[in-house]
Amino acid sequence: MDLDRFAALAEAYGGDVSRWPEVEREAAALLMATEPGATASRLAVESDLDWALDSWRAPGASQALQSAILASAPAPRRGAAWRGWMWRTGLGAGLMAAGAAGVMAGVVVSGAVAPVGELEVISAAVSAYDALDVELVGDV
Amino acid sequence: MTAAHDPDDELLGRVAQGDPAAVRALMGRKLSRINGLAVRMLGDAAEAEDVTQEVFLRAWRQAPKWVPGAARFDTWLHRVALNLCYDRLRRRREIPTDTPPEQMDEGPAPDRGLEAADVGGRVAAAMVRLPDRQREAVVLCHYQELGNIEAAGLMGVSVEALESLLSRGRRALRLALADMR
Repeated sequence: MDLDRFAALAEAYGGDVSRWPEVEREAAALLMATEPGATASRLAVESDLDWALDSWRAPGASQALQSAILASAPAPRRGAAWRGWMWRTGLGAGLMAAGAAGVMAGVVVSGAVAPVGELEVISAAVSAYDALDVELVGDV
Repeated sequence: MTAAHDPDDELLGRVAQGDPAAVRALMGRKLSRINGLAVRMLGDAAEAEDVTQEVFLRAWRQAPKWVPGAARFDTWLHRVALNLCYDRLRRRREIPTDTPPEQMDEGPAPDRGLEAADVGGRVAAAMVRLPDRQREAVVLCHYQELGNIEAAGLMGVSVEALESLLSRGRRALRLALADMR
């Protein structure tokens, strides 16, 4: 890297070499070691501008904006949180297994003993499952 | 940085599920950044907030469709924000207004010294007067601290062209602020 290239980089990226493109930094450091005066004066000019630019602070986002952004965010999926928790704890698998066993038993019993329709048994099992859903979602 | 290591991917997945904590975390991570970008591109805090709100609305819609590793979310957000800023800048040119952006400040009053807020006001006024593409280059590289390759990619120009825009922009700013030394 020569002084011209060093000056061009300083003019583009500013007086802080750590903010220059990574591929240029090593050569820049080498030039700064061999030409300390010329490189330092070039960086000083750009650092003054950097300081001025940093003095322009953007105003923070208003509370109204934050509220509007939160209000537009995706709503929690119904039951997603408790289902995730149940699966993580293994409770979900247990409940599913118990539910399936109950349905199977109901089907067998209804077929052998009473004229209860299979659909009614399954419907009852699903209703019980939904009731559990509503209770738990209310706590989330 | 490769797209595969995007720190926002995990959060986005949870946002897509409607996880309120993830929504707040993502907003906390990106709000100042995107609002700052819009303020500096438009020079108008109220317009910038409109843009920021729209950016987040699009982000929420995008979350369920987001493919981890396909792109950096921060880059995507910047692209959306820049497009919205350019829409507004274009509209300003089509519909001239007598009302200047609220942060225009021609300089300090003659009877007081130059304080940090004054310098900030001078910079804001000088930035507003830059050509759009030069301002965009300075905003992306200096304020948003994007790397040259990412900034050039966002602007759709080569790294050499980006450097040229940066140099011309900074030179104009130096001239505009020369009396502060």
